Amino acid sequence: MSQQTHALLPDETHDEAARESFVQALKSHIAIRVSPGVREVYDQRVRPQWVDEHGAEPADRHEVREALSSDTYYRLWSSVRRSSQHLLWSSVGDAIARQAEDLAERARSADAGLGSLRLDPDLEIPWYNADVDIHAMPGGYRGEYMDDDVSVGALFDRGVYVYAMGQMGALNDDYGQSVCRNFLAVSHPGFSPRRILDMGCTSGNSTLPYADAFPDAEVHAIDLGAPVLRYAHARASSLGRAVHFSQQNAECTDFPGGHFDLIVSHIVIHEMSPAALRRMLAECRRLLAPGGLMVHADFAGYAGVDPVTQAMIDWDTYYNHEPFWGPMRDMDLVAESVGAGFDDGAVELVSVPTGRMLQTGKQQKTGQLTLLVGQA
Amino acid sequence: MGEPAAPQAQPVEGRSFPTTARGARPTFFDDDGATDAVLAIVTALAAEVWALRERQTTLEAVLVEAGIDAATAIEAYRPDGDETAARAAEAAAFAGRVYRVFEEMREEALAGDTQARYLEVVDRAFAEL
Repeated sequence: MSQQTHALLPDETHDEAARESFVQALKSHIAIRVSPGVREVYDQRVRPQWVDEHGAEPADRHEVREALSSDTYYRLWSSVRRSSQHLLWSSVGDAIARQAEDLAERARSADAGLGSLRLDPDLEIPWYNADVDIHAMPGGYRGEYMDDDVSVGALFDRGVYVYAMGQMGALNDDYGQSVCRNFLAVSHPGFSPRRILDMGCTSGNSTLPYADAFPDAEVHAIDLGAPVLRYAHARASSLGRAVHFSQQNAECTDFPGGHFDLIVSHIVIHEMSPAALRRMLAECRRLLAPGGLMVHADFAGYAGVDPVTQAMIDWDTYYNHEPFWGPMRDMDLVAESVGAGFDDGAVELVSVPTGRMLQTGKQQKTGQLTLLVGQA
Repeated sequence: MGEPAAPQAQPVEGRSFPTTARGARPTFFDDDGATDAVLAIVTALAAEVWALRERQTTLEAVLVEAGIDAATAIEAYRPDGDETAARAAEAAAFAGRVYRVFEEMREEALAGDTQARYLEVVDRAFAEL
C-alpha cells in the first residue's frame, strides 16, 4: 500500500524514493535485529557490573540509563538510531526542497471555499515548541523559509508515512480513525457532536476522519505553526473535506466557552510541557458544552512499567528531541484533568487498539493508544 | 509564555532549508562527537549505495526489455562535455549528502546551540511536574 496522493503530496524521483526505502529498511533492521541486543547486553554485563559497583540493582529508569550509557553496544546503537532519524528527515526533506516553490503555489491555488484558513502572524510560539524542534524535524512545525511556505507540512505528512512504514494508513490517519471507530463508535454510539475541535492538528491527518464520521458537524482544527496549517487546509480541500483551520495556542484559544461537543488531540500532549498541558486541559473544560467529550490520544504512562522498559522508552526523551515524552508519562493525567476543572469520576484512561507497530523494540501486530477521556 | 520565542532553525549559506533541528544532536562517545559523525556519514553512505543498487536493478530490467546487452554497451560508452559537467554536479550533490553532518555541526556552532541547552529544556519540563 502506498500513500494516497492529494494536491499537496510531494513526489519523489527514483533515487529519492530509494533513499526513503532504505530509511524504512534501516529503522526496521534496528528495531528487529539491533534493539533487542540492548536488553541482552544489559542483562549480560551492564546490570551485573552495576550491582558489583553499587551493591544494589539500578533503582529506576534513570539509573538504568546511567548504567547503559558507558556501554559500547548501547552507544553504537544510540548513534546509528539517531543517524537514522536524521536520514529520515534529510531524505524526505531533499525531495521537498526540490519542489518547495511548486508546493507553495499548489497551496495558494487550493480551493479556498472549502473550509477555511485563519492565520495569526502575531501568535507567540511558546517556549516548549520554540526551543526544540520535536522529533528532530528541521524547522519544527513553524519553520518558514519562503513566501507562503508549506514545506514543513509536507515534511511531516510524508515523513510520518515513511517513519511509520505506512502502518498509519494511506492517509496517515490511523489515530483519528482509531478514536472514531475503536472508541467513539463503540463507547458512545449515537453521539452526534455539532462542533468538533482537533488541537495540534499539524497537517490534518487525524482531523479528516471526524469529518467523515460526523458529516453534519462543523470541524475545526488548530495548530501553532502557519506552514503546517496552510498545508493542512490545502490538503483537506483537495481531498474534498471542509475543515476550519486556525493558528492558535491550545492553552488559550479565542473560541467562546461551551462551543464544542467534542475536543480531540492525537499524539500532541507528549509534545507539550506539563504546565502547558494543564492549561490545555483547563481550556478544554472551558470550551466543552454540557455533556461534551474531551479525548486526547497518546501513549501509556510509566506507572506499572519496569525500569528497563521505561529506560528504553525514555531514550527518545533524551536523544530523539522528545523532551516532553518522559514528563507526560510521569503525569497522573486523570488527577490533572480533575485539577483542571473536570468532575471527579468524569475522567478516565481508556486503552484502544490501533493498526500500528510500536516503536519500542517490541514487535506487535497492532499497537495501543491510551485515551484521556473527560466528560463535561 | 511571556518570553520572546526562540528563533527557528536556520540553514547554512547556500542551503534553502536547515538540515538539523533546534536542540543539538546528542553524542554518545567520549570524543566530542567524532565517532557519531563518522557513523552519520557511514549511514548516509549506505543509503546512497542502496539507491545506486536499486537504480542499477531498474536500469538493467529496462535494458533487457529493450533487448540491449548492457555490459558491452557500458564499456563502449563515452560521455560528452555537457554530460561530464552534469556528472560533476551530481558528484558534488552526492558528497553533500554523505558529509551532511558537517553542515549540521556548522549550523549548531553558528546558532550557539548545545546539548547542555537541550538538557535544560528536559530539566525545565520535569521541574514543572
